[in-house]
Amino acid sequence: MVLIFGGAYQGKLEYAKENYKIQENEIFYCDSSREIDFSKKVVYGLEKLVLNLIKDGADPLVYVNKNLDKIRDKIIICTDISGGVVPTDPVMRQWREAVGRCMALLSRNAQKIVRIFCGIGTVIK
Amino acid sequence: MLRIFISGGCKNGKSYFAQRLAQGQSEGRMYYLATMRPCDNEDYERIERHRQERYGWGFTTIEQPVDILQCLNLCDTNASFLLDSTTALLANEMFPENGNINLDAPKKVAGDLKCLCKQVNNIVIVSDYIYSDAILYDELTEAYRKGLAFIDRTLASVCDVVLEAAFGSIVIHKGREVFVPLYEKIS
Repeated sequence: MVLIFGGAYQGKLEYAKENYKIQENEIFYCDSSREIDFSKKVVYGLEKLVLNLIKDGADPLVYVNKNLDKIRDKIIICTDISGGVVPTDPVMRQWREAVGRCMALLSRNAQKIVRIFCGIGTVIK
Repeated sequence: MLRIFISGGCKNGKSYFAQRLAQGQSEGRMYYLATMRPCDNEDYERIERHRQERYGWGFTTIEQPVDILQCLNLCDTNASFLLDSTTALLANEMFPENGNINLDAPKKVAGDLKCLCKQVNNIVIVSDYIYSDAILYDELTEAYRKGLAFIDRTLASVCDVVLEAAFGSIVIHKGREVFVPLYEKIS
């Protein structure tokens, strides 16, 4: 598993496309989904899936943990939302923490972790 | 002779560090390209405070809240430049005083700054890293964030050195070899 993270609009997907020769049809966009399409090579926007699960009252960490074996060969792309002021909205607060916990779980299981800053990737694991 | 891009979260010491870098690579003249457009007395006071803080550093201040390339009419391009910040520049261009909204501003500002980087030899450009909070913004704010990120990525690709200020420490994302001599000089 490769985990690629960084702030919004930093060029995370662009980095994956360039470095892993990814075609558009190999990317799963989380958008409004509640589950991952495991047939794709890249899972993009994991933070969106986490938010969707939270809004449904589900625990995103349980979902990711349960499916860990199915994503071992994937490239996971997630926006880092851990900075900034603690949100006043309880759902946003839950979201922020759940993304953090999922990222920590994925980090432990990833062979490689890349952080993107202004389009530049740094391998941190 | 370096073009340096520096970003990071607030209160990380970016501006102060950028001033030291601009001074470190100066061989004479230094220009401070001030981008803030004052709206009220609080802003005027803030600007005055910043001016006081810079007093004694040797910068000539050029007020250029929009159309940044116009500063070239007033400045010696061989001097050392400091531009603080892309954040204010984009806000001024995207949300002009007449109340209009210019959605093409990110492209324009990125183009202007790319051009500025080509015309001067020594420049430090400061931006703000506003991309890691857990907030779903309105469409306009999101367009502004996306636009600033586009400017940041453009500058990161044209600059010799890309730095991230992290609570008083500096992460070198690009140009370590050329940057180290300057860093040692100012340390």
